[in-house]
Amino acid sequence: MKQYLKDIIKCVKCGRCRTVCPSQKVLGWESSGPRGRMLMASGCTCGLEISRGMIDGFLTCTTCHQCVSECPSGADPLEMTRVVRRELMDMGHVAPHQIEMMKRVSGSGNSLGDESPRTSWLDIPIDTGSFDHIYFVGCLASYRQQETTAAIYSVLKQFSVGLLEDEKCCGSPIFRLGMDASELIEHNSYQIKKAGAHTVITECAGCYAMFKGQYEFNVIHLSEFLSDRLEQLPLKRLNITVSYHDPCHLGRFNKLYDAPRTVISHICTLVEMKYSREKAGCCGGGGGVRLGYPELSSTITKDLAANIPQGMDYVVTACPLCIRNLSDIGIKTIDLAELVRMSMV
Amino acid sequence: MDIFDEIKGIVTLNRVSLDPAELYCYSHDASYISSTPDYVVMPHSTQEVSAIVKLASRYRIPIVPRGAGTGLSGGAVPISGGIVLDMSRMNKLQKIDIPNLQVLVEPGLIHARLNSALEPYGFFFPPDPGSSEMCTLGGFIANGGSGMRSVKYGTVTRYVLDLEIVLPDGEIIQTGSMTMKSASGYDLTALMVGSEGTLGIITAARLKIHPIPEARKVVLAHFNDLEAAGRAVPAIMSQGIVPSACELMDSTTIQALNIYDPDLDIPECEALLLIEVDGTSCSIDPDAVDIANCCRALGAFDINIAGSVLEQQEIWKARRLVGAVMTRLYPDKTRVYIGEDIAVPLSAIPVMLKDIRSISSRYNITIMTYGHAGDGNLHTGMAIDILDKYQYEQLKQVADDIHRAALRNGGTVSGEHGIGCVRGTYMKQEHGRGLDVMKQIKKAIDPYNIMNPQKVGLE
Repeated sequence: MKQYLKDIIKCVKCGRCRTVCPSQKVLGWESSGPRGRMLMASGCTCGLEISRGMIDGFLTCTTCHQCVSECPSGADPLEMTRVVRRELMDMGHVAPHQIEMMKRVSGSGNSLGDESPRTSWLDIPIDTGSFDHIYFVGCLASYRQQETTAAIYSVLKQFSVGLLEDEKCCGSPIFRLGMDASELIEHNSYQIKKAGAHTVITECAGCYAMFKGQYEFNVIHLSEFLSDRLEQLPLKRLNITVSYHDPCHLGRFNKLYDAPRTVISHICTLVEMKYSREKAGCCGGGGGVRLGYPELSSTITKDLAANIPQGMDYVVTACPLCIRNLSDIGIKTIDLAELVRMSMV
Repeated sequence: MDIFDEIKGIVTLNRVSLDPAELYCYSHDASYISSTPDYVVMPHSTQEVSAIVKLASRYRIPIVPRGAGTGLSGGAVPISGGIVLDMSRMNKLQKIDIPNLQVLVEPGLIHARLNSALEPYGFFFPPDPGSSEMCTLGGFIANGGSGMRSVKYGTVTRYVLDLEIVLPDGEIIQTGSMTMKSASGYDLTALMVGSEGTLGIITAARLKIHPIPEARKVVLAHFNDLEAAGRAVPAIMSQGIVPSACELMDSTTIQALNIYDPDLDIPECEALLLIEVDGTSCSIDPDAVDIANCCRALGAFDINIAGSVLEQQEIWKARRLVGAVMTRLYPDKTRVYIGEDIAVPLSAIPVMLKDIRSISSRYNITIMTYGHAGDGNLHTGMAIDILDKYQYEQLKQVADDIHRAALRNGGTVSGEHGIGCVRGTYMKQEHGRGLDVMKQIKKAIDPYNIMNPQKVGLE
């Protein structure tokens, strides 16, 4: 850990992050917030004993990025959390949910551990030709939103967007948990090169952030691709009112705020949440928290739900974890892709 | 039954910790001081605090109250070990009482959340610290805090009507009342404000609130001479204008802010004065013009007036964060809070600024200077390689010189951050026999010295 000392001591311990961290808001303890994590990382460089409290402290980070966005001194507690998670694993401190996720991804190539074919939603063989743009579907869209995925692909195909012959998980779920995702990155990168693509289109916020940060391809969000072609799309206006929840990995991570709103506003009435864009709440699902600390995760979601305007037909978002967490507490939540599908003529 | 078991009997298992990592986290605040507690406890009620304090009293264990741990003087660091009481979960805004111009809060409530809650009623809690977004009201009161609008509205002392205090023997008292004033006996409320947890633990506070002024304007006056900016402050006050805020920033501060938020685009200059006036829309315009003229006469080369709420919000947001922003100016260094809170009489501001420049040259270290010039409170910021022991030692020397210069200029070593365990050395020089009186008060209230020991220079 000593090689990270320069990064750790950027933190001046001002505490700005502790009031925005969703986990610390629920748990209260210093160890459950970014400043505490930076302190523990600092302690690790000088022999601080590894304890249950330390492990829980690092693993309860939802990777929402609020600490990084708010930090006046330019520290990055989020990256340090990922580094320490990896170091802890290297030392043999592996939590059951980390093992579970690794098993799922390495066994089946997807974060759900689903053994069925990834492209079972597709009723025709994959076109293995060459494409400038490829649609990286993602695990949840491949296995849990198949009808929507098929509809979206039918639109994208008209713009000569292809699919990967053998797509696997982008690696985000294990990378954020501190594990090595290089094999998945290599595999998908090979597939993208094989398809001859220079640009990857994703819809899942986790995939988007992973491609932005860890892959060497141009990546755009599905909403960016669609918002540039709205007049050419077979979409009809829907008489519904929705609110949009900015997923952390799309919004704060990558500052992608406008394109989803452009698409939504084209389709139906959009009402903003009280806190949105860079101030948007976290659903509590990221960073392995949904899997490892479900009670904490759900409490954070309830906090977010209080921010949703009354009378919405749906909350629209672009992250499978946000959808699942919000749906679990009874909020009618749909993917942006699903909204597009509903609007298709 | 050991102490841990007894604590568990009071607050349940998930609100007490002796996990080494947790203890390590609670061994720090935002200062450069650290010391490890034996237990951390997170109470939810006054009764729980009282029971824990009674236990601490029985076993003669030190007990250290802590808000958000944003203090800059080591006040929440458990120098003698013992129990750290994390008060941040007692964070309810219990009552907004507009007809009586007051609120009742628990100590863990974040300062900014009080003002957010009051805004729809057209009221605010005027003391306005830079750490508003993160500090708790309990810690703010216990440190005698103030902030940017103290020029006109005064420090927190003026706003505390009544405190619920758990004394060192675990008994609970009220120090004041619901009334706007009281001449009934010793002012225990004033005694507790700024006592830094050495006399008791604040478990509730009744605070006076104020109507939000109808209008505000900010005058931004740029100077090419730091001391001239310093001279402008008493000159403005001498005109009979009482600004709601009057902030000074030197050239280093301006550079740091421009890096942090390039949209601010503050012209590079030796000093910037931010002077806010508030009141009615009729009154603020002539005040702003008078202030601008005064600054121009003293050498300000560029003067702007920010009128829009958004523009003003951006300015104040940046100003609030400036302390930590210094690290962005020197990415390989860390800003250390030391010697950072002196205050001098308004007329001594120019000479104090000159002294700081001289200390900076003598040690060849950049000293960022900014602060609440309107009440003579200057913050100094220094960034060093904190892994370099030599630089650390030198920094302590620099801070010592700054403190002594402040006292020489008729000032104080702390305008608003408190003494904690980093400024106790200067208490005798600053207070003389008064320090002995403080020690006698401490002994009378806390005979076993369990309440936040080794703070405020009392030992």
